[in-house]
Amino acid sequence: MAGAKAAVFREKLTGYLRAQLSRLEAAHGRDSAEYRALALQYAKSPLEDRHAGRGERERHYESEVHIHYDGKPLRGVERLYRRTILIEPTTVCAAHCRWCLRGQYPLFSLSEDDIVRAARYCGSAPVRDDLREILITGGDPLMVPQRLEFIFTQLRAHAPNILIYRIGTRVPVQDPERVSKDLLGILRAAAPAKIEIGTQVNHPSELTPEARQAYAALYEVAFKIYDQTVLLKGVNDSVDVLSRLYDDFRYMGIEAHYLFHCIPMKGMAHHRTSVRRGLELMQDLTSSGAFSGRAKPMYTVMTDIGKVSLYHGVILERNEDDEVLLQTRYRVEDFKRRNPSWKAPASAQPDKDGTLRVWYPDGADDGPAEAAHEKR
Amino acid sequence: MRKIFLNSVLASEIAAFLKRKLHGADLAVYGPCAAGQPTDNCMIYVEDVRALPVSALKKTADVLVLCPRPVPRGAPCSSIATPTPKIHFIDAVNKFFTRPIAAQIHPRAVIEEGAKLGRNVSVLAGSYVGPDVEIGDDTTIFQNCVVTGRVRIGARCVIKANSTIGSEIFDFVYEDGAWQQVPQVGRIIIGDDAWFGANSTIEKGALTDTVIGPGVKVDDLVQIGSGSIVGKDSIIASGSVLCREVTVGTRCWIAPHVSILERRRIHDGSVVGLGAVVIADVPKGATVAGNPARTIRRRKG
Repeated sequence: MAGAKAAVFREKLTGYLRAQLSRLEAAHGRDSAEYRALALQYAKSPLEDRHAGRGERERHYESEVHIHYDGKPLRGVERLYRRTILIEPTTVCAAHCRWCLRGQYPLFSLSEDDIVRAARYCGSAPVRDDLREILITGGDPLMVPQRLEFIFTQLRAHAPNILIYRIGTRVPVQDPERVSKDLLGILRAAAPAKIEIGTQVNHPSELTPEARQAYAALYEVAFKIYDQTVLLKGVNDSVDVLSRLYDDFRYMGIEAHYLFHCIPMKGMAHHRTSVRRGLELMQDLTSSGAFSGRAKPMYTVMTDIGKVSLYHGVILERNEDDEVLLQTRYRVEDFKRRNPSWKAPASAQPDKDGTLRVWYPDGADDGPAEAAHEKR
Repeated sequence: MRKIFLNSVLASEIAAFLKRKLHGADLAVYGPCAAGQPTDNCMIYVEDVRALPVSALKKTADVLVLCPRPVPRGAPCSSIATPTPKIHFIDAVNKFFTRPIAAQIHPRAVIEEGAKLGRNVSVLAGSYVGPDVEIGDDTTIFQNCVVTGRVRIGARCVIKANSTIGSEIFDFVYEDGAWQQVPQVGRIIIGDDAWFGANSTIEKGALTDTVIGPGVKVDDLVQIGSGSIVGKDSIIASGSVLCREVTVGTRCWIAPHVSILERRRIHDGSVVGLGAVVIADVPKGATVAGNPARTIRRRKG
């Protein structure tokens, strides 16, 4: 979730993350799982320049989801689902997660005019009959509190049908100081709309006292905080790490929502496990009796047509390009109805009922998670 | 009142706001920094491109510089060229990196019945506002101030902590073997956008009003004597004393630790130098200094 400069996705860490890395190095050493869990998430690896992976892409899904309103395209607005619309006020993030879905997006922020148009669209007929929530993502919306406040004002004025403002952020684990009284005041002022926070924590060592305090503060203004962990090779592809992480979420009141299979972004193959590895981990978590059933995430992949949660039986077949064919319940006619400009991507094919099956590039469990010489 | 606020804005947005061109790559700016101490993702200003802190900039990423000329290509920062870097820097900081402080009447402030307060007035802990006081919109009275007597304060004024506006005046006549206090019927009238430093005192007039014009800025530890008049946009620096019924014109500059004898007139646009003791009127546009103050420069023409 960040802006690239001239298609180069730079390494970017906050002072807080650097301090955490030093602390983890001093406490556990450079070869420790704790240190690597953080370093692998943020340190640019030479492996990124090896464009080895098949089906790697610069965008996380290849659908046409942009919207036209009043004859002009709406900047920074996407719609893939019926109830929810997505707005990206900025592509700026506090730090750059290496596997970022939007790492190749250019640096930009929405202007006030863009936001006014987006809010008008959300409240216009017939869109308003379907839309109930807005996902504010980016970039990291908590990096631009002034813009966020403006979005809230405009939505209140033009789109009272939107009842839930959902915000995607990693600020609590990247720069917790930004969760300030000012920011909380802005979020609180969203009422009567409700605030929901979607976050991403990938390893228990990210949940420092500062991060926990930031999440606790956000819980004062949000009715729910949920997590979407990304399954990352060398970071959290073990039952031990995942169960500790989900235990922590349980204690903090954070809902375990998705465990995402890592998307095949360009140059990021070394972060990806196989789809099957995730299924095995899920089975260990959910079907071994060793873990609270209240803390179980949904194991999900992001395909070209949208999210598909994986259970045994969803994977229909595998081809020689190491892609897996997934059965979904997405339907062509639904997409067309919600957004007439939607076109089915090449990876998706409807069956005879109009239900879509989608090819998804698999990852590999063999191969290193980092280059040999960059061992820390 | 505004306070600093951690935000993130693109350099291109700042350039658009200032109606100037961005030179170099776009970047995210998180807030202002002193030119000599840049941090990652900050904005600085320099009045001269030669003053650019090049070695410090090489150690930081994503710095935006406001300066009179575009920073040459290959420099470790992006820039916005402007003939007024400092003013544009202040404008950008106010627009993007500050927020208004919510007005509050502190539960331990005392506002007497009859006092008239405008919208968004703040009176902070320990301050007292008397019954005959009128305060304009958006004015802030910091901690432990006393505002009493017939006082009218304009809009957007700031009174820093421990100041006294009004109260008894120091004006006595010796009669019948004792000091008798003179009658105190004058008011204090303060214009919009006036600013008073900490521990300042303004006396009400004995028979005439004490009048502080709009935009007057008064530093800490200043005393303005009974019945004095200070003209629009004048500045009075720290530690200065205006005795009774002094008149200061518009756009005057009174340096620190100046004493001005009672009933003297400091005419428009004049400058009174550091530590001067003014015992005679100061002509329009003159600069005076010393004890006793003498004219060291007259305005040309």
